Amino acid sequence: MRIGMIRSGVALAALITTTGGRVAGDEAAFSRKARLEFRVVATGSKGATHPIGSFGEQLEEGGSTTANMQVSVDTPADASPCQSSVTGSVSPPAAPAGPLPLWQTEATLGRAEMDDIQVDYVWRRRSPAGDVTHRGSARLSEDGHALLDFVPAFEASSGCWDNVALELSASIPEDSAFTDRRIGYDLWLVSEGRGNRLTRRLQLMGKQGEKVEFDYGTFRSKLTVGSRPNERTSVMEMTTTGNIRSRIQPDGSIEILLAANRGAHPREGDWYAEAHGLKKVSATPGETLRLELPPPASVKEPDMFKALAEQHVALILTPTLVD
Amino acid sequence: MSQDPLEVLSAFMDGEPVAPDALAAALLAPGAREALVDFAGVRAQIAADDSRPSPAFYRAMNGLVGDRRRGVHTPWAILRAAVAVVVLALAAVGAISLGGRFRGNTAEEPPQATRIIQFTPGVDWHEGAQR
Repeated sequence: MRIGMIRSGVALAALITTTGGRVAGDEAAFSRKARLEFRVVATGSKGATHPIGSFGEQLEEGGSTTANMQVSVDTPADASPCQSSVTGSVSPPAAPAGPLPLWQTEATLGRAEMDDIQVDYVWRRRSPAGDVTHRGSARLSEDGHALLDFVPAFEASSGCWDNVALELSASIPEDSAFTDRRIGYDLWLVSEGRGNRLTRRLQLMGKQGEKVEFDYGTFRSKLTVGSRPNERTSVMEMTTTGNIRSRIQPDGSIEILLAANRGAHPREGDWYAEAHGLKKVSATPGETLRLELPPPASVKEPDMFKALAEQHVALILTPTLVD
Repeated sequence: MSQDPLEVLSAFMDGEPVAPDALAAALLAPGAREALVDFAGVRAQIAADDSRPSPAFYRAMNGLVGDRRRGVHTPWAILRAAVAVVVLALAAVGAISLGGRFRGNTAEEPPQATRIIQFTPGVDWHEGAQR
């Protein structure tokens, strides 16, 4: 949620620099968990795709789960909506029931970190047309999903569906002690170069584990390109966007995952260059962090790249706990 | 190069030739109205004052406005000197005000960071848009 944006100009402060800080290595010694879900989705003859059944389980890292999911459809004789179902069972059925697939799945949670959930899986599709088995690995963002299998369902007996598919999704379960907590982000953009300086401020807030987007819009800086006597100025239009997701940890710290994107485009030019990054940081509430964003390196012209590199862009973030 | 608006107004008040464009621009400048009122006020006060300034006043004015024409202390010259003093005072006040504005409100400045975190190209910073 975006609350406000303020612009101002200020002086730069001297700081302590770390190339990693407490980044990704300061993970607390508590178990990491994720909820994995196998989901059957079906696409109707009118084009919309709906989930029609799922099986999910919360696992700790290293844990595994299995599921048997039989898809069936009751085709109505009249014009009433199709009645579809996915029947789950603990022990695998001896044979598929009906023309639609029986999916037998197994998944092992390899890693459960913020926005980075790694799952090894095996699925076996059993149907009158034959059996198919596939083994794979998926690296999922939170609430992301991977399409594992897809089955066209052209037979009249399949009912209203044109196709059915099997998906895998993952999410991080929230600690009940923090589910309703909110985290505030005082997030500044500072862009400074040769004789120019611009700041913009966003004040954001998100719930525990909620991803909050930020976008500073377009800001322009006059860059000095090249060196004397061939020096010239170029007005560069720049953007900085990204998102933040945080979680309060049992030890009181805040685990922050910040994704940032820095783009540049000359007002008198036809190219656009951008670069992005993802950083995980552990911070104490109220601590102020400065994240330096390197320039896009794909700028072809060396003098222009140098000018962009001399335009330092940074995000200054202060996370706080909202009562 | 554009002229200082207050100088243009001062010259106009002094009866000196002023380009119409420069005068129009000067009248649109911040504080132009107040400056004109001040100039008129000074002129009125001086016109109403028939006492002769002391030699010390002349010396001070000559030092301020760089008038090297020793012994020429006509009322018109005194008026010009007084207007120059007003202009200088206004400029000083304006400079102080602008200085405060450019320093910014401290409440709108980012807080001082205690840690700098660098993205490393090729490691956690990559070319192109985020997928």
